[in-house]
Amino acid sequence: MKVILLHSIGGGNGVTTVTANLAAALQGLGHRCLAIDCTPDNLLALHFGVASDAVDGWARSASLSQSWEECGFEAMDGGRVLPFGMLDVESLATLRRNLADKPKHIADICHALSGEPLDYLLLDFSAPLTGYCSAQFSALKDLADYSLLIARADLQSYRLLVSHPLGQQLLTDCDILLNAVKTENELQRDLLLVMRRELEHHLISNIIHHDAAVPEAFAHLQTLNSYAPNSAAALDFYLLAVWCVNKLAKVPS
Amino acid sequence: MREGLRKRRGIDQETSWPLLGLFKPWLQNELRHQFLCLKGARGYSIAGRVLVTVWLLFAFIFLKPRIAGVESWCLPQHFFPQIDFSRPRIDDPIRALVQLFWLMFIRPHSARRSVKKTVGTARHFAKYYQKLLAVLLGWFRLVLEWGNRHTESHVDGTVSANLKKRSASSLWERLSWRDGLLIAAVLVLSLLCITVPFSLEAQAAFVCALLFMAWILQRMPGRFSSMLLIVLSLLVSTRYIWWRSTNTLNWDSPVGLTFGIVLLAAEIYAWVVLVLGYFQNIWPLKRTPQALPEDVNTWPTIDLFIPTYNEELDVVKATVYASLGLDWPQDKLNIHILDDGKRDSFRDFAAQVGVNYIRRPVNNHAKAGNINYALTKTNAEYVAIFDCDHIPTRAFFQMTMGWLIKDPNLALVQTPHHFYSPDPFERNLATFRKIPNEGNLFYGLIQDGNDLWGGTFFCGSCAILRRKPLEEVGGIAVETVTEDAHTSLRMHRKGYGSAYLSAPISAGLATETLSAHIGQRIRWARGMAQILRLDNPLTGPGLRWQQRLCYFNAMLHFLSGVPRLIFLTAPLAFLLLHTYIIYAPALVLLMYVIPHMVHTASVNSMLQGKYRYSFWGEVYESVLAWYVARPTTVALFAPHKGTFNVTAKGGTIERDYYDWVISKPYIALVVLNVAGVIWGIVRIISGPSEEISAVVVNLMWTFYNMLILGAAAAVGSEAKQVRTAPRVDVGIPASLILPTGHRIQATVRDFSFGGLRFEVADSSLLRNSMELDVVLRRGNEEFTFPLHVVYAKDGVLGTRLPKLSVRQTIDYVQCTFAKADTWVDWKESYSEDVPSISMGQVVSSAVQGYNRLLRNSPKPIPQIYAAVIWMVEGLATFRPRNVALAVRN
Repeated sequence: MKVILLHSIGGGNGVTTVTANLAAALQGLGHRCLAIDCTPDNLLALHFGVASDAVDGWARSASLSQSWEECGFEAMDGGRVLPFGMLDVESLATLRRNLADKPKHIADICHALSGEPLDYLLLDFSAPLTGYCSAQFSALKDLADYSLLIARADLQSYRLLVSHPLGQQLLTDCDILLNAVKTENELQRDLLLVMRRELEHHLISNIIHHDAAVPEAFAHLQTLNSYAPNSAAALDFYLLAVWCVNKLAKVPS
Repeated sequence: MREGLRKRRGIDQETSWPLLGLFKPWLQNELRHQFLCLKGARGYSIAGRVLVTVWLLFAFIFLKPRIAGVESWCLPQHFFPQIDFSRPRIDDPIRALVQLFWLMFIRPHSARRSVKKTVGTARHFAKYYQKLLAVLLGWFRLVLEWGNRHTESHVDGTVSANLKKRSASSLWERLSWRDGLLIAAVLVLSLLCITVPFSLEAQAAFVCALLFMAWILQRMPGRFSSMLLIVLSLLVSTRYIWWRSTNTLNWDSPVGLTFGIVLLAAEIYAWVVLVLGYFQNIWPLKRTPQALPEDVNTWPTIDLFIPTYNEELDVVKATVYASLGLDWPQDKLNIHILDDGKRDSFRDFAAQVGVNYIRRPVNNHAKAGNINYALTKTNAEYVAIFDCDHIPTRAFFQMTMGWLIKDPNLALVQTPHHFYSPDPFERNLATFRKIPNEGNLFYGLIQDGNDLWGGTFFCGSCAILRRKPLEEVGGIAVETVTEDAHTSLRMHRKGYGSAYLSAPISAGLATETLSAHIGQRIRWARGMAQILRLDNPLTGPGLRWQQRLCYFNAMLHFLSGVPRLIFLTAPLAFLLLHTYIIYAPALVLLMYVIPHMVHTASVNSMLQGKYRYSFWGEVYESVLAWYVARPTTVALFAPHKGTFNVTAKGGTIERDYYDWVISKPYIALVVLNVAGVIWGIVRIISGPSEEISAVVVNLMWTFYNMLILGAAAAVGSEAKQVRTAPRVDVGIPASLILPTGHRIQATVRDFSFGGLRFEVADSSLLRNSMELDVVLRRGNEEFTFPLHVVYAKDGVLGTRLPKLSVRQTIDYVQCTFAKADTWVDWKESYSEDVPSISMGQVVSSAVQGYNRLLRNSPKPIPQIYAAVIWMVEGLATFRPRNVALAVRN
């Protein structure tokens, strides 16, 4: 089992979307995948078609001191997801306090899963530094075989990645994937060129193009693979999946 | 009345016949089904209805259900497929009788016996000799492989020696006395093989042995076996020429002698071209690009010349746009439009896109003069020349400059002229990208072969020259109309080298009409003949003998007009004029000429495989023969006559038409040959019996000539070409951005300056006449262009490009025409030559040619032709058909 960690600097970069669609693309290539939602907004499961009134998740189980093993879902294509679970503000605060003592809680879940028939484990950790627990993140980063930072081809991402200490810290042992790039937009195209030059050791050549089909697929509670297989973004995710498979081919599972 | 009719028809269609009610329902259904099955394409006539009804009832009552493995009710349909029983015609009984006779007495009988017998003998034979053959071939192959290794190492040595510019004499120094003895022995032996007269039986045994050897060698891989094949072919052909010169001239008849010598001269010409061709193409160098130095600052400066005279601005624009995107440091590349037409629109355009514009005060010496003037106004180290309709891909300098930098003695790197629009041959014969065109042989093989001998010459465009040697020889040569070849000849004379890189890294427009195409070839032919007279490569200083031969063969090639005309008319001298121009018994002639032809064809097919298919060379030559015959002859005797004609490109042909003016000579030749055939048949029927074999041989020759002429005549029929911007078929991945923000995958199927056609997997979001953007890639970058959808149907999307800005147009050209790999797979798309298939293609082109010729002739001929066709087709319906006979059980 190979672990891919997906994260970003701030929210809204599309980490959850990328995780769900990358998992679907890997599944489409014939690999068995499980995606774990590590983000309190609990949106990942929606991509897999889990009903919006489902409240279960590993975090919710943890705060209720129950077992997380009953919380997984399996989608139509065989892809599996472990949601975060619905937590209100107080429970989340309690969880944070509790998890502070167990910095390896999610990592332990991953370890527990290693016996399962899985090829890839994808971790959606939307915003580790501004999120609920950075200790969990560092534990996961040690565990992950490959970690991918999702950013956009805009000035905000550029600034954070190139000159902000937060970005510098995140960039260690990590590749950058640019998401929702509008290559038809001159500013974004130029920024893409600039970032390619200045971040050349981190930026992978795959990008995910901006495509209206991506939010549409989400609105239909589907992954891009099944909703719009002929969209450009579906091809991008396919290529990204191929890239990840090749990148991780040398890692012993 | 009418109502009654309609009613009856309605009843008929429903129930078929009133009698049906007599039978049980299942039988009714069965009979109705059978009745429907026997219905022909045009439905039942009254007679057919009666006939089929009677037959079905008869078959049901009297016949067993299956006869000879066929259901009995459909026996007539099975055994008489040419007869429509539901609509019998008056002459159908005759067809039935013919078929019956065929089935009963001829077909089943002969088929069974002959198959059994031949299979038996073949098996017997194969079993007996297989083992022996295997052992022999095994030994033979071992020897060949040893030879192969030996040649590879030896010739690799010479190639590198050649590249290192070792002088020609070193070859002689390296020969030891043993090699000398060997060469002497081989010479004596081959002299014997060529000159010793044989009896008929001995000659038969000799050619059979050689053919057998060639047959085996063809199956052996490697260069050594192909060289042996060439040796065999040389032996046979030289023996043929020797025999023809010594034994076949009719010294008793002055007319026969004259014709005989003329034909012999043509054959000797063909033989010389053949021998030189073998020499030229024996080992194509297949040079690969040389890497450029790491440090970009050391890269040299280049002046890129785009000479133009009367071409349209749009044609020139594409080349300029592509040049602006060439991968070369901007400050080291100067682009110049050399406008000989003195047009202000060109000057304004140059200023707009920021390239240099050079206009000269005079117009002398056409393109050569234009370039020479520009040489005085510029000063970069290298000069690249592109005809204004040749579009360089971005990798052009990256691929070519490496050699020039590495080898300071190199004066020229030439690349192929690749055309993305069909030339008149390809368009009128519909062979575009199916059969290699005229230029493929030259740019695919001959220039590469020349390169081995250091004899690659300049072709006027798509090439880079070093300024120093070019200025040393006084710029581009102006004395002849093929200034390009002449210039490189002069540089070779000064001791400079040349290189050929066989990579399609630029593309251009082919000539539009046949007349323009022929005009261009006339110019080349005249120019080459001029060089032969004014600056003969065989004499004069500075050249190595290999270079001399390469140039000489190139020039000789263009003198093919007169010999070709002689070949096309030679058998008529015997058929019509009754003179023996080849004074030999038919059988002996065949014994000499057939091996000569077979060996030549197989070696050429092996050498030229992907670049020129068998027999097509003769078609191309025949089209040009008449037109180049006169100018080359004139130029040989008076080299200063003649003017320069510019090749017109980039036009349209509004409707199909037959170019009678240009086809006149072939039609005359066709008429002569038809007369020859008719007279030949008359002579077979009523002439003296001892002449029959000679008549048959000459008739075969005439038929072959008519085949070639038919294909040539087909070229004269100009096919419609309405598109001003030729489309280029490709398969480039792209994506489309819709106004809704959707971005879908698409594949570019073709592109032109006017628009693109896409294939999309999902066209549900696409509408006619919507606006969208296409994203094309160039390297790692993406470029977006607006498009207007013209049609969207069944996954195919036709789009039109609106008016683009200059920047966008440059990007568009860069993403399409000038993309580095656009033309790469074109070269690979031709399969290897298979002579029989190639023959089939020539035959079908010839049939097409005669068909077009007759349909386009003056008044009574098309009508007579249509009547004859109608009659022949009518008669053909009487012929018996083969019927699959099931096994009797």
